Amino acid sequence: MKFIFLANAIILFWFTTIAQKIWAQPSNAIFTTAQGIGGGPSGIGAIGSQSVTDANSANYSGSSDNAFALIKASSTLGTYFAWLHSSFTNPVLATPESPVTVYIRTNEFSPALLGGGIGIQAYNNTSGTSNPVTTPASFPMYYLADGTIYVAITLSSTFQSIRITVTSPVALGTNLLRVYYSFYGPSATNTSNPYPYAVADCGLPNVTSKDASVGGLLTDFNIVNPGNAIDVDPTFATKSTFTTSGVSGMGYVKQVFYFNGMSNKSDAVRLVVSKSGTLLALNLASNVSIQAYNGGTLVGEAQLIQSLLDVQLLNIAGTLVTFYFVPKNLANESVIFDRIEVTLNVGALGVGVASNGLNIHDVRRLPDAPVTPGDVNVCTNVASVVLSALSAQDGLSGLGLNYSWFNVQVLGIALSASANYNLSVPSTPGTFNYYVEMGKNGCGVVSDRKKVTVKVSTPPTVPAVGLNP
Amino acid sequence: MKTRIFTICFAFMFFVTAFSANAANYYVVSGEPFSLKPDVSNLFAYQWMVDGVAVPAAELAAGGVLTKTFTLAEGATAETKTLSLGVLDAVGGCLSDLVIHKIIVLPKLTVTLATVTQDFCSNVASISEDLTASLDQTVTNLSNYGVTLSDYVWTKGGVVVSGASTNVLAITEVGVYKAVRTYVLPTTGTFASNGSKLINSITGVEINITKNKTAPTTPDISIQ
Repeated sequence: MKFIFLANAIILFWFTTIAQKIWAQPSNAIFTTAQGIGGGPSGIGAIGSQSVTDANSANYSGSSDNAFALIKASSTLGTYFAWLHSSFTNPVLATPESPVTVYIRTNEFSPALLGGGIGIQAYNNTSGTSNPVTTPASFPMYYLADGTIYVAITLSSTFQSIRITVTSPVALGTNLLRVYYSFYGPSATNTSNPYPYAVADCGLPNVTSKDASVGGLLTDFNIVNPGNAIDVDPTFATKSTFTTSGVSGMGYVKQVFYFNGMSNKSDAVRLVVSKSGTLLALNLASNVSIQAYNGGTLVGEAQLIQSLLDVQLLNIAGTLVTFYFVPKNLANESVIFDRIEVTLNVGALGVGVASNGLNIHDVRRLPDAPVTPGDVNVCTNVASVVLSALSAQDGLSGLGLNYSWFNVQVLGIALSASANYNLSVPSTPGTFNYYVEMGKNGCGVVSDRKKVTVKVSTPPTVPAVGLNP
Repeated sequence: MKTRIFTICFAFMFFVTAFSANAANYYVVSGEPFSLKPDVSNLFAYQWMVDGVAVPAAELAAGGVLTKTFTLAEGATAETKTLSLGVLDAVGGCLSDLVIHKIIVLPKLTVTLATVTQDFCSNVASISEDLTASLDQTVTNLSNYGVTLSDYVWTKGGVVVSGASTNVLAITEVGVYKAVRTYVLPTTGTFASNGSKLINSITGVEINITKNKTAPTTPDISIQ
């Protein structure tokens, strides 16, 4: 069911008791402790420069560590490279059965970094002169709500150091990368979630990442401030923004949201979005899709957001629109997922869509709307009728689910704070709608509302009777 | 509209029909079947309850007609039963409010006749005898309902004996005699009758007064 919500009174949905996520490394995180540097021209005849300043700032100094090593490579002819070599004190055991993910905190994000400006190589020693370890060629960049960025690389062979190399742009210029520190969590068991160190879980994603196709020389697809979509902002003022600029042509831009572990059965995702620019909402909504994943495996059916929200509301400038995505397969069965991708198909929007896009203000994973037995027919001569709701998650221990009934689809005052609502039947016939939502105790975010229609009818009149001869 | 038909007919068929939309009182006789028929016959379903117990739909005739027989224990007094009716006008529709009717079950009574001599001698010029009528049972709680018993009605050879209304009839002729009474139902009060079926409620036993005894023949006498 679509759930459309005008966000002017959003704060009513938020409570101060919402558990805040603590963006922190695990308490037993192991950091690199030694740094080495190097660099030079990539080939004969290259003209440029390279440097790594404050290399030892890449050693972790504590929870307030904001010092960084700066890797810089510039060129005016050919390319130059610079590298920072970070070593752990001891070798780190990793196997294909028990891979280890190293997180490198960087707060630098430049478009020039995309498309191969950074390279990471792991070694089974501290020198980096030999024993390279098989290292993935690509590594995602994850954004946290506070703006922190992590590059994560997962290794399946024993290693002791990693070398981060920055190469100047092929199109000339300068590439910069900050490295604050690098670490891994020795107790991490969730190989699907890229950053499994969230403490509380009221459905907020742990991290988010972005991806885009290469749009060409004059084309830029980007997501600005991706971490804003997963911060705890009760007014939804902050947002990530899908942008397209220049001559767009074909391509896509997507944002991925990673939740804290696998979902429960019958979980849904609530998104709060708005539109930027002059692009028609229908055009936008018909080219934005949502897809769920279980690790790297696609699960359930993708859906266009035009089928999930009121497009007319999205067209109103500044309007925040809330909608729900329930990952299900073709058999309409709930699927288990730990991440979703929101993809904007730029190519279908046409040429010249500069500065137009989608804003994502909030993403939450939460239980799907409650299930009800169906609409109810009742008579005016019946004193009361029980409207009941339940969830596939009722039997899950520790969830602490709560239900609320309303007589309006949006906002309103709860008529009952129970799964069962004892409704006093109206004395006049008519059709009356009631809505039920559910949420987790201590979390202010609630599911979509399920409508129950109560049709009240006048009972028939008992006919006269007589003794039949 | 209530139509009341009453006839003092010794066919033992006392029947009153009336359609009552509101709760009504009906009088019936123990051991005799009766039927209640709703005046709207095309409703989706009829829900009858007898003393709070639902009557299966299979036991109803078309149009929601309910046929019942209440039988009192021998010697029992009058009893009240409740018959409730609710109706449904459509599948999944509303059940109407229940209308509760009272069924007052009256015991069957018999009037018997007693006499000293039933068969007189054939040579008597005339006879003189008292026939005494009595009910086989005294129904002690009729007054609770406002029900009374009528005067006796005597018949000789099927013809009403004019002026005879008490339980004693002085007879001077042979013949078949019978006496009956009827239940008189209340027309006002809590148990005012809205209809009744009193067939075979009070029956009379005939007695045949005859003059068939053969007188002996007076023998001849002679002087010795």
